[in-house]
Order: sequence, then structure tokens, then C-alpha cells
Amino acid sequence: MADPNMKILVVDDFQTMRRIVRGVLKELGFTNVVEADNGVAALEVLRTEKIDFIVSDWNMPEMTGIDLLKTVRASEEWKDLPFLMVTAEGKSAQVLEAVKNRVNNYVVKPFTPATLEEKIKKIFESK
Amino acid sequence: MADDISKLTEEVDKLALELMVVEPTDLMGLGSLLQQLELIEGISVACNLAPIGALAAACRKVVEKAILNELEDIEKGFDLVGKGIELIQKHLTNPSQPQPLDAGNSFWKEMETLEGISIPEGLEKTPEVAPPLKEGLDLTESGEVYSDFISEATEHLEAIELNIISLEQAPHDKEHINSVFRAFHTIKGVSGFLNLQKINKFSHAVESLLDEARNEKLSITREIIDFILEAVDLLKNMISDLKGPGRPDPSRFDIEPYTAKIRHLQQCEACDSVPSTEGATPTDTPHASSQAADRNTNTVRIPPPASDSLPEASREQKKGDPGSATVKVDTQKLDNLIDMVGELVIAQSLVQQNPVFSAINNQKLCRDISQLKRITSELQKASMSLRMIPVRQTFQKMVRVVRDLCNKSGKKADLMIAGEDTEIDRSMVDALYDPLVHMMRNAVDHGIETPEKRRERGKSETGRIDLRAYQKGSHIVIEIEDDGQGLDRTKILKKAREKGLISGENGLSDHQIDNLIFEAGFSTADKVTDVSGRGVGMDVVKQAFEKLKGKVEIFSTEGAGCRFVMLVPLTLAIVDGVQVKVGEEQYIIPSVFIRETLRPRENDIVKIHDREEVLKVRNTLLPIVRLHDLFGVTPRKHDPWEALIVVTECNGQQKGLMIDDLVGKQEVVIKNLGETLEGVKGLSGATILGDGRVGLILDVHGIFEIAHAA
Repeated sequence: MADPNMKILVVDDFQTMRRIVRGVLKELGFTNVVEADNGVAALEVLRTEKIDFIVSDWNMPEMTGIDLLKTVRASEEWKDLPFLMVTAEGKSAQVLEAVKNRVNNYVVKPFTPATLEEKIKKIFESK
Repeated sequence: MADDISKLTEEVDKLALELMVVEPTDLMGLGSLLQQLELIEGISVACNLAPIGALAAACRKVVEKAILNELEDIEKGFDLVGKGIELIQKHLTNPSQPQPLDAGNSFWKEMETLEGISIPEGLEKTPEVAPPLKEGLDLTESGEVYSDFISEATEHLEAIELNIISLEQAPHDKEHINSVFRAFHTIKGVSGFLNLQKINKFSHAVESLLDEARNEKLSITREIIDFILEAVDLLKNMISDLKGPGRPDPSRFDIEPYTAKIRHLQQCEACDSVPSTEGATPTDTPHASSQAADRNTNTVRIPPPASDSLPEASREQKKGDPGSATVKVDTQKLDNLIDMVGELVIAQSLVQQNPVFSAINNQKLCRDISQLKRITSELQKASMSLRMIPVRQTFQKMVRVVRDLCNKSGKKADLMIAGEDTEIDRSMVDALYDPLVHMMRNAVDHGIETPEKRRERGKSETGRIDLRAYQKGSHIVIEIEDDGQGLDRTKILKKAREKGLISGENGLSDHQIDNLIFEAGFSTADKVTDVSGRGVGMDVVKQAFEKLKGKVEIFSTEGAGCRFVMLVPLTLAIVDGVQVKVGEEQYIIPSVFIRETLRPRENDIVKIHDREEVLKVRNTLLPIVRLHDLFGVTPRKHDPWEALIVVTECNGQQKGLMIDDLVGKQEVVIKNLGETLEGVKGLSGATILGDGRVGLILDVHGIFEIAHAA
């Protein structure tokens, strides 16, 4: 089951979104949250801190979510790191590509806290 | 061929195995299946094994649906994929048989039924897309989150404005197009999350238009730029609706005409990918018009030769200042801090000026006190600077204002901005916006002539408006200068006489005539233009600056142009003044109004009509104001030639204030008079002087008004 103390990295270039996700995670009992505003910054965080779970948006400058996913999955260290991709409504191509690149799960915007909780549960149930 | 078949067989067998192991709810497993199916599909198509390709494609679609959670019965879907794989394997043992086998028919029938079921019927299944909530969100933090969205979206919209105007000069600059695209994209994203449906829908539509521009399916024309600016305005309105009192009412906004326009714009453009000739002088006009004959969109006009005259201000805003790390601080906390520092300054001053200290002859103590004073001063300056922000943002907003004004009035003018890094107190920034807009309007409407007229006069067709800011002593100076036709003094005099503002033409200097435009109710516009309104402008502008404890001056040269010079104090919390004594009272006169101080000679004083006193100074007559009469104080000196006269200037007029003594120059912390005394004319505040007593700060404007009204 998901450990409430696990360190979650939230990646999105829009501060309001990060705030929203952080808020939802807090409601679910996850208070150990770190933020990054694009894929490159996220990698920096991964290098310096021990992250247990990533929630990432797709569209970001410098490095998109899908590229971040690919990089993470290609690395020795993080290839099994639980990764949740946030995609936009109607972008099924994005979902398929993420899944092909071994994302653990995805969630479509706009999402309710309940949906996010379900997704997180699902990811950690199989572990 | 045989190789391909064996390769294919190998992959299909792998797939069959995987299918047995993968759980239908295992997303990663499904992803793996998907990749495998794509591989098989690819190979079979490449080898011309159409039936196998078709089967693989069908299975792939089922797996995709499973991933997207669009399958009602996922077990059934899996079964079907299994059947499909079996059929493929059968085909592979008999590759030369083109027609599907009998078992295949039932497969395809079931596939048909499955394909038809795309959206889960019952909503008991947790849908991927959240059920449509009523507009707005119910998260407990929604109030705060809205305000975050509002401020960030507003920033984005401002960035869009700047970037889009830059696009006018450089329509193929991908950086700009991308910035604008990203801005709309982010607004769309978050508004979607907050379920602000209308904003989301609208920004989505504009974003798609920009996406086409990004992909060079659409070239940026004047029409598009104008449209995007209109879209920005609509979004601004929708966003401020969120702020407003009461519930937001999105039904007020009709986005239909906009979305229709977008469709129109998208159709009109020929899909012509424009070769990037950036850097070269953009002469795009002929190219675009060589397209479909019935196009009547305005293409980008050839920009004026000095295309780098586009002020730095409106070039692309670099995304996030590379060097600045900033913090967000609650303004209330900031104000508290500054108040306390103000008190500290006063307290320190009280201590320092305590007469007991001058008695003590202790070197070290004196040095320490001096040090204390120095540190307190530094602290005060530092805390003041916390409230300061550069005028850049406000100035840059003027770029669009001028552009829109020029469009509406058919005139051409470039806005040149300088000194946008100059900082002013944040409370003044908002107050500045309206007066500046007013003056821009005047400059374009009354100042800059039409292109034809300018040509006639030998001027360049495009006028020039300079907007400058710089610091001068304890004030910030803002100048607006245009190279238009200047003030028409005959017209002004005529109007002033009509309105009864002056009697006769009693030798008014040019300067004084110019200042008449600041009188209330004055307007020389022959007809009310939509742009300039009813000419209520200049007196309102003057009042606005007076409210900020500043002033406005005007300098005009007929035919050559007009220059407005506005002063605002660096801060509203401190005033630089001269401390004076009248009787037992101490007053502070703000330095900005003081011209000079003099001791008059008896024969230079002339009494007019037995009540007004006038002093002959050089070649002019200076009215004297007896402050003690005004304030009901008993003075020590009763005759002007025994006292001192402080020559003050305000609105082009000069008057001499009569005082007993000059104490000295002081920077004083302004304290408000409080509600009861606030309306008193002639006083604008108070301060605590070094000896602990209260000194009143004079409001020179007010004094000028009441002095000779009696």
C-alpha cells in the first residue's frame, strides 16, 4: 500500500496546477511533496533527493512529460520509479504513448481527488 | 518471405503468451501488448499480408480502448483479442490463402459490436473524464485557487499582449508565436481543471488557431493580431468576472461570434508554409496577396524603415528573468514593517535631539548615537525600497494603448519608452495608469497630426511619443513628449474666455495659457470624439497627480510638440521639506513647491485694494499669503519686511508665504491627520518633530486655493 510518508515529486510548469495537485495529495494524507516546473528541473530533483513517486504533466517547456518519462525509464536508477502522467482531455494519443513507454498510470484533466486517489492506490496495490 | 513469416510467427507466439499472463487491469501489461500488436501490424503490412494486418489492427484497437478505459466489458475484449491471435496463427500456417476463414466471420461480427461500444453506457463506472460539474469547483481551497489563477492568467494575458505586438514587426518569429501559444495553452489547462468551462472552451479555440500559426499553416496577419487582442480583452473580462462581487456569471459572455471568426480566419488562409526569412526586412505584403484572389485580409504592412525603433519594452518578454529570485510577501506585512520603521526613525530622532544629550560631553556616546542615526536611515531607505516596483509594467501597457488609439484615429505614432527600470512606490503604480492613458489619448488625438498634415509640414508621417521616467532628488519625474502640433494657444484663450475662466487677455504668459487646460470643464475638442471623450481629461489628470502629492507641468511649442512633466514623490510616507516657524507653531513646506526664500524690503511691498499685499520681485508681482491669518496663529513678525517670504510655485502660479523663521531642511515621516482633520484645506498631514512636538505639513495647492478666496 502507498506509504503516506513517501516523497512525491509534482512536475508542472503552471504553479496553480502544482498547488492543486499538492492540495489533493495533502487531502489524501501525502504531505511530503516536492515541486519542479519542467522535466529538466525534475531530473535535477531526482538526482539530489530520494523520490518515491512522480506525478507529471505532459506539456512543459525544456522537457515534456513524455520525454521525462522516457528518460526516467531508460535510466538504471529510476526505471521502476512509479510514474503517473497527467494528460489533457481528449488526447488519447498521449495516453497511448505514455502507456507504451511504461507509465504506471495516467489521469486525465480535470480530475477529482477521488480519481487521483484511485490511480495512486492502483499503482501501489500491484507493488 | 519465409524469413518474414517465421519472424512474424515468433512475435505472434510471444504475444499469445503475454496475453495469457497480463491482467486486464495492468496498464503496463496492456502497454506491452500494444507495442507487440503494433509491431506485428507493421511487419504484416510491410510484407503485404493484408488479412493478418487487418486482424492485428483490430486487436490493437481493442487494446487501445482497454487502455483508455473505453471498454465496457474488458474480459470480453481480451477474449476477442485472443480469438484474433488464433486467427492470425491460422493464417500464418496458410499464408497463401487470402480469404478469411469461416471462424473469422464471427470474429469480425463481434468486433463490430465491440467497436460500436465506445463509451461506457452506465455512469456507474468511474469515467476517465470527470462528470460535468456545474461551473466552478467545490474543493475547499477553491477561493484561494481562483485568486492564484486570476493573477497568473492576468500575467499571461499581459505577456500575450506584448508578444503579439512584437509579432507585428516580426511575423515569423517562432519564439513569439510559441510564447503566445503557450500562454493560451496554460490558461486553457488550468481553467479546464477549475471547471471554468467557458474560459476553457474559448482559450482552447484561440489556442488551436495559434497552433496552426505555429505549424506554419496560418500566417500572422494584421487581422489575426487584431483578433487576438480582442480575444485577450474578452478573456480579461471573463476573468475579472470571477473576481467581482457576487457569483461569477459566465452566461454574460457570448463566445459564438469569436469562434465563428476563428473558423473564418482558419478557412481564409491558404495553407502556405512561409519560408523563414527572419532578419531580413520583412516585406511580406506582396507574397501573401498573391494567394487566392478573393482574400481581403490586411496583410502585414511594410514596417517603417527604422524597424529597430520598436522600443525594447515591447520586444519579447524573456520567460522569467534569469537573474531574479523573488518572494511573495503579503502587502499588509510589508506595510506594518514600514510603519514600524517610520516609528523607529521618529523615536531615534527624539532621543538624538533630547537636550540632555547636548549637555553630556561624551565623545563615545555621540559617535554611537550618530551610528544609530546612520543605521536607522539605511533601514528606512531599505524598507522604502521594498515598496518600490519599476514602472516598466505600466509603461509597457501604454504600447498597446497607443497602438489601439492610432488604429482608431487613423494616425501613426511610435511610442518610445525610456527609464522603465525607474522605481516608484507600488501604491502609485495603479494610480498612474489612468492619467497616463489620458495623456496618451491627448497626445494621439490632439497632439499628433494626421499623416497628410504631417507630410505637409515636412514631418515624418509617423509621429513620435516619448515616455520617460527618471529620478530627480526625492522625486520621480515622468515625461510624455510628442512631436505633434503643440497647444493651440489662440484656441485655448478663446475657450477660456467663453467658459469665463479668464477675463480679458490680461497679459497671460504662454506658460500660464498652457496651464489653463488644467482648469475644470475645459475642452477644446470641437466634437466629442469617441477616443478623447468629453475633454474632462486634463483636470482629472492634474487631480490624480495632486492626490499623489505630486504635480504636472506642461511645456508646449506650437507646431513642434508638447511635453508634460509630472512629478511624484519617491514615497508617500516621507516628504522632503523645509521646517518653518510661524509664531509658536512649526510647519513643514514640501520642498518640491519651494522656489526661493527672501527677506523683502519695505518699499517693495505694495498694498492693493487695501487687502491684498504684493511683493515686487525682479519683474513680477508676487501675492503674499499671511499664514498666520490663514491658520489663526499669533506671529512674532507682523510686517513682511521683518519676516521671511517663501516663494512657492504651484500650477504655474507663484505666491509668497510669510513665515517668522526658517528652521531647516528635513525629511519627515508623514503621519495622517485622521478622519476629523482630513478635510481641512491647506494641510496634508503631520509629523513628529525632533523635539517631540507635532509639525503640520502644508498642502500648497490647498493654500493657494483658500488664500485669496476670502
